[in-house]
Amino acid sequence: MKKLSFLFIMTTLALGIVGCSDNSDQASSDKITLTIATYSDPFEVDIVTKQAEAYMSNNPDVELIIEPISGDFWEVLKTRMVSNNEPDIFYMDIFQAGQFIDAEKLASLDDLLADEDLADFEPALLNGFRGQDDVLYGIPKDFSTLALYYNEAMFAEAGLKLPTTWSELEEVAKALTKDGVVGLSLQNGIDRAQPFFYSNGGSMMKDGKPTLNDPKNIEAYEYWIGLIKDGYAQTPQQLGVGWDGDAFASEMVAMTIEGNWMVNSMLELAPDLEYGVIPIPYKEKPASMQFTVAYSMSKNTDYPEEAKDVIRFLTSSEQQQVVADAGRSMPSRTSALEEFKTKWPEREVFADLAPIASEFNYGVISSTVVDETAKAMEKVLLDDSVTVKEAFDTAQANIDKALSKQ
Amino acid sequence: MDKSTPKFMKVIFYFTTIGYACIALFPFFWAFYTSLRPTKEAYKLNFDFSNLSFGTYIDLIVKNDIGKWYFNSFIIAISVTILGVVLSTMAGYALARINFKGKNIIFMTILGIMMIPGQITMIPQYMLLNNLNFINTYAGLIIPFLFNAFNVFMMRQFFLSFPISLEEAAEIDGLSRRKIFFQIALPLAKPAVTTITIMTFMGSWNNFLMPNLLITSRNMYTLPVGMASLNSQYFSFPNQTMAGAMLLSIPMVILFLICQRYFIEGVTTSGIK
Amino acid sequence: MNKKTQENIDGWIMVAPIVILMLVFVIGPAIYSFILSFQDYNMLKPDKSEWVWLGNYKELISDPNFYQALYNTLKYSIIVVPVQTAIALLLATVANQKIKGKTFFRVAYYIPAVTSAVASAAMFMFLFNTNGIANKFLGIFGFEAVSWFNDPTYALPLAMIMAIWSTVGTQMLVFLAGLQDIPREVYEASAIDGASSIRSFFSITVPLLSEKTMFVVVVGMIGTLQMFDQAFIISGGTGGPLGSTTTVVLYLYNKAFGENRLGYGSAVAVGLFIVIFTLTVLQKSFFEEDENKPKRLGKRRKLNG
Repeated sequence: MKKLSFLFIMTTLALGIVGCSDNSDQASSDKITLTIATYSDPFEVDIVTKQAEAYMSNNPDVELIIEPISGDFWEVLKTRMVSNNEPDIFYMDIFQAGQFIDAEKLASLDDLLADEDLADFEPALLNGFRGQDDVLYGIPKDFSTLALYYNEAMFAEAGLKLPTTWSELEEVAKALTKDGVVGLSLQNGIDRAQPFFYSNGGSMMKDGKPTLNDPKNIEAYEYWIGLIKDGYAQTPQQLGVGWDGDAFASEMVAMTIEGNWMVNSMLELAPDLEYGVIPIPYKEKPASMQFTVAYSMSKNTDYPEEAKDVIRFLTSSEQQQVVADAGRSMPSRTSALEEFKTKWPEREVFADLAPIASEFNYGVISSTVVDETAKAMEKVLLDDSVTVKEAFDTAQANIDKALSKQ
Repeated sequence: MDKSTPKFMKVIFYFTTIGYACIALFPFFWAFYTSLRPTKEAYKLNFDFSNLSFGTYIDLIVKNDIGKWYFNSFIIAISVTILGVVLSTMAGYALARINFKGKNIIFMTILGIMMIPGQITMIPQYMLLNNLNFINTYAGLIIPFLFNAFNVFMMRQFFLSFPISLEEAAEIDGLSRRKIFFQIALPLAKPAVTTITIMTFMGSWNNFLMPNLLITSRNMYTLPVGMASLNSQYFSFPNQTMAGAMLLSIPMVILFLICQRYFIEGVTTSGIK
Repeated sequence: MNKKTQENIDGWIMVAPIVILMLVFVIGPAIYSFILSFQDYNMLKPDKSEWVWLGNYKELISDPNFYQALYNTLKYSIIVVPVQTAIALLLATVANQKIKGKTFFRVAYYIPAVTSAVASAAMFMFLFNTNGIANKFLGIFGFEAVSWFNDPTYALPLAMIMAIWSTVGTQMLVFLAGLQDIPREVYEASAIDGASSIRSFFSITVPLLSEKTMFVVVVGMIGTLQMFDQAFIISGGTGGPLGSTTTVVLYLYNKAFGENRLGYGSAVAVGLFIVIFTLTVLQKSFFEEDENKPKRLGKRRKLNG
């Protein structure tokens, strides 16, 4: 048995050694340590790292640790919350906020900013982070909106005027669909189609409940799907590309509806392409859609006051300027937004859309709403026998059912 | 393929072997080609060899701490492989050959474990590892992954298929269990051990879900977690994704090249004579 | 010490480390999940969880989406398992021949396996998009371009192709290792008897590999019934187009992480477990009936040689 027992003991030993060693990162000091979870996108991480360094040089007793989360941010955050091991401060997407507020996972940030300071934020951006009780649970750090990108050369060549209404959009899309080019690239989902709903007088939320099958929404989607079925518009999948940006950059389409983030990717994908950006054509009233990310604070943090101070710093006018300088997403403070507009005049249109941009937020079960809507839209796109109303009604029933299980 | 094989059979044989090799290699080749293209051409579907460069790789390596990611991945994968293979081989042998109490229950449990989807046990597992202070430690990335139901199951199947007569003879000769294991069973199992070595290393090398929960510090990033951290939330460029995929798989190809020598056709030392 | 005690001690020493690791890191969490399946457990509100006992299971039995997911998963498994097993066996036989460029073939066949799921999916998205190379290639033979990811008829087959492509390499390894144990003499004896290569493949190789085949089939079946990665990537997590790539695991993932219903997700996992368990037991009894044959054959050959 010697050799065998020897093997066994060795293995146990090895396990033990591995087990004991390398408990690094536990630098013992008197400093207050706060963790900040961000998206792992290197672009974001760079900005927050610089901001954290600035904060720490002014506050030597606080150590900020940035924890970029790869993969599915929300899966990781929720799993860590189950173990009460979430970061002290974390990104909170407007789209996800509802469930965390409902579950009382976030700390109130009501007393974080003075009223006059709060007034500097666009109210539309703050709303998504307020609970039913009107308490504020997140301070927006930046936001993005949707607008219409168009290829200047294609418009000039066809001698077309820029569209401002739905019927004009249909006309130019039709006129531009020729020689292998499609008029418009449309990503078939609620996160692109929603401005059309609101423009038609519809809405996605009423009294805190999702209202996908609002007749106005159905009507708007019929317009949207009509563009695709008539061939004036195609989805990125139909075009065989990963997303709208690829289609637009490679001049497969003359127009697309995308957010301000695409400006940066255009620099990379097609630096020489001449294009312009205008508000999305409307029917009853102009509309856009906004995607906001805020900083929220865990209810479990050991140092709520210090953490609040960090959030105050990160969302201050001065730090918002850092976000503005980076130029990808837009600062959430009106004052900083003005600066942003002078610095990036070509992105002004996105900034101006903030007051009329509906929220990408559907309450407690946002992701179910997005999934069910995506399925309904897919059904309408692929199955000619299904009407928009049927598909939206089915989706609404599923949404209501999921909501009742919460 | 011996001399008696008709010629047309040989033609068919080579046609299919080469054909499948192309199917297997093509996506890999295409990924490599894409990784060498400049960003704005990377999603195009034509062949253009004029401006290929290793720029994307250099960019990835310069901007990120890829050396550290490799280091972490290697430490973890090597530890998991050595310890895991030893433990699985022993257990597989015991389950195939030794009649001890509880053997069937253990085997059925191992089979059963394979049937549980990992996505659902992920949360309790994380809670446990968190309580064990396994966050951001090598131990946390090694110890929980040493047990692999598939490996134990596979080793059992292999030991089962070896002729028992040899071991019985050895037992009659008075050899102890450990001598039988080390001198008779283990040499026979070399190809099987090679296989689980490759598979264990590969599993550890590509492991993402759990490490992504356990690693919060950038110092501890493994290669897959590090690569995933580079993905932008809005879009990703095909050349970067593909360069990342290449950096991830090349060590595995090298390991396979080293290990495959142990697959030698028709070993006659298996002692059946 | 009598033989029986000795066997018990030897056996337990050899399995002890594995059993301990298994109990702590796998069985413990699994039991925890099983308990959750009897609760209305919201991941974000663990304090408010309630015992609903069989409530989740009652919901599961009448959940049409679960059946749809189960149907997709079974369809996927029934096609993928035999195809990948057959291809893996053939490839292993080839890679075990004394042919020119053997190493090249081995590496080529194995390469898909080393490519991580995310990377290989990115490649497939690339090859199989509407303007992709796959469509261009099929176009040469007069096939019309197909929107692989966007068409409910083709999305699941695409997932099947992806799965087969990427798992065959690993399974080939298992067979390759198995082929090492078949002594050359057996083939030589059969060649003297006048058997062709093809006949000896079916009369010697296939039966002598039965234990490994059982391993490959069982593991393949379990793996395919737990299919997640390919479906998640092809559909971006939604299980589309039109639910055609919704697998059971993707469904439970969306219930657990999308709707935070960890309790219901656990019940779905238990449901899947029961399905896999039943199928494995059926399969095992099927294989065990067969198991005696190859052994007898092996012995006879041994005597001949």
